[in-house]
Amino acid sequence: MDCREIMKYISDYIDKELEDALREVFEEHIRICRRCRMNLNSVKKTLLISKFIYKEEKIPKKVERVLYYRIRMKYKK
Amino acid sequence: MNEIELVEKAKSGDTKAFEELMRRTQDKIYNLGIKFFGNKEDAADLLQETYIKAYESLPNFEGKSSFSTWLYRIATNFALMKLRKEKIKKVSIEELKNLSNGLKNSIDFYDWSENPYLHYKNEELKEILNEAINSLPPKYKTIFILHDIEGLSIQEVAKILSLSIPTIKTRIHRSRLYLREKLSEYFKKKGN
Repeated sequence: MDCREIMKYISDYIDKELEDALREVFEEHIRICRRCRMNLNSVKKTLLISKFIYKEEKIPKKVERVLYYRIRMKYKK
Repeated sequence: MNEIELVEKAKSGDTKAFEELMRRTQDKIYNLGIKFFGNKEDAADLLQETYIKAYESLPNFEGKSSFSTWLYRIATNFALMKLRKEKIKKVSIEELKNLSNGLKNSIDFYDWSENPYLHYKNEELKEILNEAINSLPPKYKTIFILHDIEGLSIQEVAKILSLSIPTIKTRIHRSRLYLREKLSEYFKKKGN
């Protein structure tokens, strides 16, 4: 497997979607190829940072009130 | 009471059961809206439209997926309609394809994986990524958010968007490489 093919499988590897035999070949290449190792690490780190972009919030009370009001209006129809 | 029992009750007209289902899922759907649109007003719209549509469509809900996956499907369809109308400049599919074909990456890749600016508290970094996510074409953006941010499986995302699993995988891969490229550009500038 050459570097270009490794690149194609990076996401499947991260998502644990590679079959065992292919995963072993992938990992062996990553172990010996610095550039592919960097590529894999940088994609992983991109995903890690992405998870910190958004902060989970509670619904504002006013939004919640409007939501239930609108739904209850639906019951009457 | 579990979700299946609540759904059954709600389907037979028990509004309290429907509201309990809402209470259990509303924060998730609201936050999904914030991720899709980046603002509270549109997130509130998405929230309301999702539950109104869910209430109206409840008799057709067959329980083949969980109630929350079904809600995600309604919410995502609504979001896609709205995102397609956005005026934000989007990256072309061609550019995304070129990145994943190896035509424009890895060869001169700049190693930033150990860069000291690489930190989850770096707001500049998060802003760059946020902008990059917002510039993804709508379907790519929704797939990325559902899978990589919300943590839904590829199979679930495929169901939600009625797309094949290979299509979902291809789009996830292209989106990731595009976002990685944006961070690479940032680190190259920092490095200079």
